[in-house]
Amino acid sequence: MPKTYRLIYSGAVTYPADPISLRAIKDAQGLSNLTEEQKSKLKFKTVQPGEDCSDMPKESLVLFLEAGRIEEYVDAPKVVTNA
Amino acid sequence: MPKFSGASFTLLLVSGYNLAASITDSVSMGWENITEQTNPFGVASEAHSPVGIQKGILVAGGGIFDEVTDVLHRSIATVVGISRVVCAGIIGNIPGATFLGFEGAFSLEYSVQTEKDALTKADVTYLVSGAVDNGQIVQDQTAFVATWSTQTGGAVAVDAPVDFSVYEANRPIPITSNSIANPSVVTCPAPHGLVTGQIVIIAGVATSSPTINGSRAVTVISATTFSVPVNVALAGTGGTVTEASTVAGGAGYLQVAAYSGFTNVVVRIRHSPDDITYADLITFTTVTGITSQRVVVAGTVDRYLCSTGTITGSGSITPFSGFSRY
Repeated sequence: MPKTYRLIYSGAVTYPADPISLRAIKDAQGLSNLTEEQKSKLKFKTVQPGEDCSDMPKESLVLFLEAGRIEEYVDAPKVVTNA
Repeated sequence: MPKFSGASFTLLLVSGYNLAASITDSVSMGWENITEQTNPFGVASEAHSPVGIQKGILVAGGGIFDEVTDVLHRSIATVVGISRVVCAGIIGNIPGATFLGFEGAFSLEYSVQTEKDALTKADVTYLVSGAVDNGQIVQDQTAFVATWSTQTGGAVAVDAPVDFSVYEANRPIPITSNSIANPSVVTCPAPHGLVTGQIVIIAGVATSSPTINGSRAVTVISATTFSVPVNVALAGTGGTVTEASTVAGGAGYLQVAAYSGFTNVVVRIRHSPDDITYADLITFTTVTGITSQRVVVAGTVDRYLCSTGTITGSGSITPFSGFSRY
């Protein structure tokens, strides 16, 4: 079962929302090397404090974990009642 | 070595107003480390100890006095009890360039000089009652009419994020060698000044297998040694280490010199360890007019800094922002 992570940092975090966008950024060696027009064609996701960020790019996830900005969490077990 | 002159000095932002265009003579600024003489009687040499207090110095002289077209002087002429935030871009209005920030600058003395056959000028002396910061411009002073971000830019753009690892004041530290170990221990010939948890960029290390070159988190062992999480089987020599993040927080500055039309604007400084994922570092108080702010943050500040502005409504804004790492 894949691990789940949530943002415990005090501010919002923005990251590429799909593999194509991430690939474009990595190919350019960073967002700073893209133009605003190139960036506008990519998809981004903004996560607020407390929200799930398990789909953050792996390389960023490692750095944000090390910095204590995200934490691994486990969903509370769901209660199922028989009808 | 680059040299700078008055032509480079284009920003002297006082509570949002840019005085640089009005000043014709001189601006003197800096800070002083207050010390107390501590040598007793009977010794041949003076001794001084720092008391842990910095004192800012800021004097602007020879400003052209013009109340009709520019209300700057009417604003700064109020010498009683108004604490001002001041930012001075001493080497140009360029992202990444050094700026000086002063918090709590009170107009101490304001004088107008009128001479026959000469333009009327004014001098202002500030008493700095607060912090003095030395940082990097994140958002150069530019007018915007829509939401903006300096997250991108392209290879030749000047409005790209500020990369701390290439800041001229952030000098690479030489490496002597790195050991066969897991983690590998890096030895420097002189004190490295790093802090555990800091991200660094190691470059130019030869023979190490696997290489330790690249972006690494350090664990400090001593003043001249630190380890990096690499399982090294063949030792390396040479290379340099450069700080890519800092861990002691810092102070962000925002100055808005012109504002019209918008309902409000939210200005942020964001940071990123990898230029892929960006997080809010500072969200300034929502802007609704000409303003100046200084906000202190704690903790890790990542390698890349960018500025964003989110607007509501239509209009125009001319912001400046900078950040000083501690």
